[in-house]
Amino acid sequence: MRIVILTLLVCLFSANVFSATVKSVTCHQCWPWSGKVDIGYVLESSANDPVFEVKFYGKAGEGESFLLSDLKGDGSAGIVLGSGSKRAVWDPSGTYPGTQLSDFKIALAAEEVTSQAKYIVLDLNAYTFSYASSTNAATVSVGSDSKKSQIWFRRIEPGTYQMSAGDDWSYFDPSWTSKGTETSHDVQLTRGFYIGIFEVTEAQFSKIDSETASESCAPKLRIRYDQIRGSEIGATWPYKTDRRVDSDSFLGTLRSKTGGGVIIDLPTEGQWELACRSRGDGTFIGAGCWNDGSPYDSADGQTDNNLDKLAWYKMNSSNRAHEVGTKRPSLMGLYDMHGNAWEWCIDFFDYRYGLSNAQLSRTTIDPVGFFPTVSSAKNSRRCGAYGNLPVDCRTSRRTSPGNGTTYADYGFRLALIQP
Amino acid sequence: MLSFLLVLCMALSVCAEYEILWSDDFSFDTRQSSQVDLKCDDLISYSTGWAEGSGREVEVTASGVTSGDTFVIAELYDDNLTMSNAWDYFLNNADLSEEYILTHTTKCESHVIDTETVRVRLSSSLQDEGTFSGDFNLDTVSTALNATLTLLTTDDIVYDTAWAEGEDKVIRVSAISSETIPQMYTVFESQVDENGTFRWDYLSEEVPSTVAYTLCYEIKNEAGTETYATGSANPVIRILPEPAAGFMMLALVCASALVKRYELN
Repeated sequence: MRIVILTLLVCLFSANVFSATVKSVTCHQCWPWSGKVDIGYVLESSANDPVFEVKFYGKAGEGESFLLSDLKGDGSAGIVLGSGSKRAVWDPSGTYPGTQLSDFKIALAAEEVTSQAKYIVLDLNAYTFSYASSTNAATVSVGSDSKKSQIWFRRIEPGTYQMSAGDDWSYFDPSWTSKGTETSHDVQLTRGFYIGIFEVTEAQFSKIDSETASESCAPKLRIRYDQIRGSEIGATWPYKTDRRVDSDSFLGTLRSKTGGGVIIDLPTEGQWELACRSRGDGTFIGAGCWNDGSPYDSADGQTDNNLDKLAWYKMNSSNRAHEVGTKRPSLMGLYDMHGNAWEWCIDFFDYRYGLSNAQLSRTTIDPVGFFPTVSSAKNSRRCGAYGNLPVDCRTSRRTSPGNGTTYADYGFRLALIQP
Repeated sequence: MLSFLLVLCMALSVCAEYEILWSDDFSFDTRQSSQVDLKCDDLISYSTGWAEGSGREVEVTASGVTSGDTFVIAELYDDNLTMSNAWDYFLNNADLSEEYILTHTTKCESHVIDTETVRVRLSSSLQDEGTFSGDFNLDTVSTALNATLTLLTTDDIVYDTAWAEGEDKVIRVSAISSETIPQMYTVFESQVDENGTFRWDYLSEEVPSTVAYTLCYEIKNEAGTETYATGSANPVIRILPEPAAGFMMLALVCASALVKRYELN
């Protein structure tokens, strides 16, 4: 009986370890702007990077409560990343046109879902977020919708890993000239995040960008950094680490559709590489291996037997991009990290990551990349495309195109960041 | 018993744990008011609560109904009010015969989460005019012409690190064009690199390759407040753009055969 009670206690304590606390739900209407209602609330949890599923309810007097629609702001899309003060706006004119009410209440219902939310799914029809749990990342079942009308994001836990882990250059052409861009150094990310399991496809892009039309599940190519984030406020990273973007950019359009509570953006180089190297158990894949943990396996540096299973690259692609997710995923269930398209990161590029030698010898915490002082500074992109040899498909591979330029093999992958 | 307790335990563990909190009663009014008459010394009030916290923005603009003239009246970002005299500027420059639409936009991380408008008329004008001033610093640069060296944009530039050693120093290398009105391009800026090498391709797309350039360098502290060394390098250089993709292999062969290294100092 003692064992039974002990088991019960363990179960009860292990269940709901993190629970949501909702505080300070305040509502008011501001003069003279409109009849809209500002809603403020506070979410708390003991989790490090909590994920909340939230719903808003309304009730007039002693009437029945009902689920609110016509919301904008934090939580309006169903998911909130991170605790703290949140804001939303409710437009009651649809539900109560031409009405004055003085005894209305709004309720905020929140559930902390961090442990279940291994995957967050963005629905590109309703522009709402939901979560899907899975204990085995590599075998998560996704249909064709996940490449067209949804975007799936995988949770990546924080951790410390060796960025640009030194590869054995004798394996590749020793005269390869870009070695200087890779200096091994320790990087610590203190917050988890979510990253797209696929590169953004043409079909997904055209769902968001009304000026294009495509049903293709190949990666969206020929994309410029300033198309994604904008060339004005969107080019101010890392001076403005709040990740603002131009409203007329791709991300500006997407964000205006999804509301607040979650930031959709390009990953930093640190996030991209952490996601690529992560095994999911707190350890990371080091030098000499692809992101499924298999070693480099090539006799001539051109055809790599293990890369062939993971990536569309020069030796198997027929020099064209292919449908995303048609090769083996990484240990975290991420597809095409090693090939198919070069992927833009948010950081500005510097050969030494914008770090001094002393800084490189220490652990860099939550790096934000180089601080450029001129408009000609260039952004980073990572890890090879369909036309590249294995040396360009390695996890450490980084380069620096101009942010106003693009080529036939430049694509991108999105990330969800806590505000 | 054991099975029952385990089932109960599992049921509890998967049970949704929604926490619900209701607000106090509040009032709202969705009857639209079409116009507000403002005097020029009226104050525009808006909730700054919306602007608290990272990434919160409030913007107020006034747009003429017939003229389309637009004034940015206030921008509030993370509690930092900018253009604080913009309201006066608007009042001094607005057409009193015009009707304006004030737009109040609330953003969060660039999401427009609320836009509200009200039509206003101005009934008098303030007399004081705002004044604007600014400080400008023009760098003087050397454009002395000497022999010309041609560089491929894929060449490495090597520089002497003797004067750049130590922490917390930043080197900036600029290319000054020999045009009638010299243009300066910062081609490299970074923490001091003990290898003394940077890649030349920063200039590949942005600058004309038809003119000559002088390389100049300066070493500063990280804050940029103290300058340790400045100078320019001879000879003048000309820049060849990065080879087109079709000729990349040929160019790489040429580049490796004709590696030119250029020494500053």
